[in-house]
Amino acid sequence: MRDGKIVGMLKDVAYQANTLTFWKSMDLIGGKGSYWMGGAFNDGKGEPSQINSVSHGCVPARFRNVNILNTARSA
Amino acid sequence: MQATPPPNASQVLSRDEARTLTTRVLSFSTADQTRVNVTHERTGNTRFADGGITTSGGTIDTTVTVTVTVGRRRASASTNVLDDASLKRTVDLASRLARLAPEDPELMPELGPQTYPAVDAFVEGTAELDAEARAEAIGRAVSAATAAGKSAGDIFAAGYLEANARAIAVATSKGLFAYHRTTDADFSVTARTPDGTGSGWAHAGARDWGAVDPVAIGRVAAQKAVASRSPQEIAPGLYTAVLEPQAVTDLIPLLAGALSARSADEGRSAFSKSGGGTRIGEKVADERVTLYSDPTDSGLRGQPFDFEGLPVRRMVWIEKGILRNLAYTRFWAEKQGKQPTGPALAGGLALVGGTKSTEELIAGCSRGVLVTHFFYIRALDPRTVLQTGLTRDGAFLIENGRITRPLKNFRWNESPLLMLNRLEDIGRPEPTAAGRLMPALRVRDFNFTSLSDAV
Repeated sequence: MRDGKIVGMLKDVAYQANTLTFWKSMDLIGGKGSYWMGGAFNDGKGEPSQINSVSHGCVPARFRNVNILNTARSA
Repeated sequence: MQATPPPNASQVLSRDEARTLTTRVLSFSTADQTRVNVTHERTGNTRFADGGITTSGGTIDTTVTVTVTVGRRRASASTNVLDDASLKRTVDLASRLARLAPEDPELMPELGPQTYPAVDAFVEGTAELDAEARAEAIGRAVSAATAAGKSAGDIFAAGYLEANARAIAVATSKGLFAYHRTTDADFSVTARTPDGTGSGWAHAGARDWGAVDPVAIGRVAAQKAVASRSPQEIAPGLYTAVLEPQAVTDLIPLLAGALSARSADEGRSAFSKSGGGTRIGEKVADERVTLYSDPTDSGLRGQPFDFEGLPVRRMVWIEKGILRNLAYTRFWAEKQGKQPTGPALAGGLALVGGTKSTEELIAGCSRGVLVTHFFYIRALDPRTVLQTGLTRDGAFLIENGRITRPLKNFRWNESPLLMLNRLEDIGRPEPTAAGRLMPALRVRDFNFTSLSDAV
């Protein structure tokens, strides 16, 4: 993102944090207008394998000072 | 506007309804190229344990996936809400994501109109298998298990019955339209003896529910449970194994990954030639073995096209032991100057080469292990297709052509490909599941690596 706009897609990105530190760093959270129902139509488990649709609704949130890793870079 | 609901409970989206829906979705897109994939599914399932039903459910759903291409950028979005606003939102989302996506160096243009082989894979009797009919079938299986297991006391029977009816459609902005409908049913019973030491399992699967015999499944599961009580240990090692058709069905489709031409060309598969290229033309299995996929085969009735709408035709992968073909994606086919085939197993999978029954394979075995089925198989090495897993629900010692005693289960390490080079005998192909024709096999030196406490 640059100047409040999505300008391109990144690859080889991961983030790493302590759970408590990460959630404490949140300074903005979306509301009703930005709620998004995501999920998968083909979550499968078991023997014999059985498939279910699963949903996961959430809002976007902003986090500060997150440790972002370049997973393609070797040490 | 909502899609008109199908009139009959057993019906799936018709060809005309699918065409109307895909045409509507395509009309919302202004992108260079757009593809719509529709899956309409009616599923029903029932689980049971200890002679009673534990859960029963079903789903009716239509999933629409829109794939938008802008230049060499492509993205997809899916929804199962079919009003115009939701479909437009899905097209818009795919379009926005496509513009953000990096250029795809392997992007192939969407296909125009194609011709497909006719495949009749939809059986009304399977589509009509509702909760009541499933309960009735389970009742018959449990009664048969109870009767067959009487000598061991009160047999505990559990299992799962599932029936699906599905319509799939693909349409592109270049005029392609493909439609196919199919059904399948799967029924398995696990039987346990009251002392907890005996376990048996039986399964049947087919496009046509009429080909599934619940009484036989219940009876065989219980007979195996009774026969497998108080199993004895034998030392792990290399044994001749008689694999029942269901056990072969657990292993042979795991060759799918190796059948990828790209994996072979890139040196990552069992069909890579050392020094480069593929092993097409080389002997890779016993000369009696032929392995093929064919959506039009009456025993397979597979899918006549893939997700891009590419026709799926008969492919003989291994002919009398010789590797004849590999599966080419459209990108890899163009790069290598070959014909694209689509995914390896879309047209089902059949292993043929023998005529004998499982009993005849047992009768011809001087000493070996009879395997009912395998459990929890995981890949170890794609270069040899090496897998690991467990025997389960009935492993037996064969001596002088007869089953003599139950055996404690094994963990094993074995490759379905290398195994096909150690065949003593091949059974006749049997329908083991929808889209599968598999024989029993007698395999020399099957690698049983350790004992398992599982029953």
